[in-house]
Amino acid sequence: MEEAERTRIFMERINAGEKIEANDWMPDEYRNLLIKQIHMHGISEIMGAYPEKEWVPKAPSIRRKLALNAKVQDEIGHGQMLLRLAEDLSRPYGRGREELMDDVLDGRVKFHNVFHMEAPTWADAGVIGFLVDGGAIITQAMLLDSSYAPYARMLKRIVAEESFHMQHGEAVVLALAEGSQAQRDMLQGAINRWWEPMMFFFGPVQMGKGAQRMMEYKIRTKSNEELRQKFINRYVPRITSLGMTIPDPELRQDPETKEWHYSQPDWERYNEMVRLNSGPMSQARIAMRRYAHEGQRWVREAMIKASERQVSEHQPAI
Amino acid sequence: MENLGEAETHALIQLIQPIADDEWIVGHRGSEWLALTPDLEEDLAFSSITQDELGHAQFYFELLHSLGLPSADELVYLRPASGWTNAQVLEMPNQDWAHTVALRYLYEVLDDIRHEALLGSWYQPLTDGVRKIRMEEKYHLQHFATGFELLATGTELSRQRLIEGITDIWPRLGDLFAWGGSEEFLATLGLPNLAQSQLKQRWTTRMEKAFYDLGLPWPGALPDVTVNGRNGQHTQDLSDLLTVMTEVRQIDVSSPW
Repeated sequence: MEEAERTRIFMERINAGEKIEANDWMPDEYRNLLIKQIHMHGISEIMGAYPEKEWVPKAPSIRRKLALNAKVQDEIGHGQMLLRLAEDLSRPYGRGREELMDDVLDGRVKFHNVFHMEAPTWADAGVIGFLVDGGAIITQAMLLDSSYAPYARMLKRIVAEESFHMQHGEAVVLALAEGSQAQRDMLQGAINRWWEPMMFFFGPVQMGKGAQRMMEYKIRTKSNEELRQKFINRYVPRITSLGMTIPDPELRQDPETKEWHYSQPDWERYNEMVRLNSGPMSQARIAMRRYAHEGQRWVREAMIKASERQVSEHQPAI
Repeated sequence: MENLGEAETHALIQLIQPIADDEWIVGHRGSEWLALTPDLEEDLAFSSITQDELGHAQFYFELLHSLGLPSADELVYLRPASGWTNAQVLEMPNQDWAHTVALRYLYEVLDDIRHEALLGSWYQPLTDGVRKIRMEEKYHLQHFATGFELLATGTELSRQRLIEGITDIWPRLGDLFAWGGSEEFLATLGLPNLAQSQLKQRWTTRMEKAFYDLGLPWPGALPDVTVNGRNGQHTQDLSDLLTVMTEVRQIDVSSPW
């Protein structure tokens, strides 16, 4: 069958709402868009562990320490599952886990802007769960209906866990909001730091070519602006009911259209941060990943060698 | 505290506190490895183990609280270094992966011996918990025994780093087997198997076999106790650990977090 004919049939399936499985034929463009999306998603989960991980040793109660430890573990787990998906898709290119992880260290895969930012207080650890995981639930919920079935299935589990994370973040935030003046100030400071990055998080109103193609392939199903509006709509009442303010004087809702008007985030600054890994914490966090991945390659090599030896020792002599 | 006399209560505290503190400090150091272990799969396994250890410590702290000590959170967050009774070797800052695997394997074997002996206690709130803990500890021991073996038999480099780790840890092992002060409380509790000499002997027998099987050089007799963490004698490392651990809590000790 001609390539063009196969693509036509593929698009018919997509448009009919059919789901694509890992072993189905797919156009290279579809595969490459999926790899890019899932690779970035997986790596973002892993890089997202770092701003919170720092707070596990400092968590202020036994309960919080256990909960935050479990949350960070979940994020690593999501990263691991997503990378396995990306590894499957990358098989035709001969690229596996080692290479996909090397890409972080070499700046060949991007990760979410929010994970380039500082998390200088305990309140940031809570606000990350509250706002970033809350935002991630919104973007990931639209992927539940993704045309790529293995991704959609995996997202089901991930979204369920993310809502626990959001509740964990909300519990931390609530305790601070009900606490002393110092705790409340700490919380307001963290909200001030995270609001603008969250406005950027959903991407530009005018979506790039890749994002548009992902809509056409039904890998994703909603526009950036729809997602951002949903987020604002959900979080304005949540934040104000905590007695906290949102650091945007322009923020207001059109009484008729219900659309939110908001200040534009510094698109250029955040774009550059993600593209060049030049955010306040980008290099420090990549250095931690480098320590884990490159710095301990010797451990993985030893594991492989030892396992090979065990297998060969258990082979029956011929 | 029903049916417990003063001597029994005091003896139980003497027994449980060092174990609680060991588990907590091990769990805390484990939590520092989050997202930094050699691969994602190890990260998942290791952080489960860390949560188990912290959970075990929590169980023991709550038991101590029921025996009249402050609450679990207060024991963790408001005690000065001199009030901690963990073994000194456990407060060492994390070093490379081989060092951690070595330390954890050596510790988990002792923990196994100790928990097995605890089952002989007449104090049911303790044995009920220990029975559950042992189900989890079985996997911890297995995990680090496997890690230890893989490093010992992997590459020249991994073997060398493992031996370096063991060499660094060994001279500091003394108080891991010790108790604070006299061991008379063990007679009160009917747990003679937990005497320092007994623990050392059983641990050494098991460890000598493991070293022999893996062809690792035996580092020699266990060192005597010179400074005893069980009596609150600690290195600067514990003070540093506690400063980090209580940093947030200290902002407002009375407020809920």
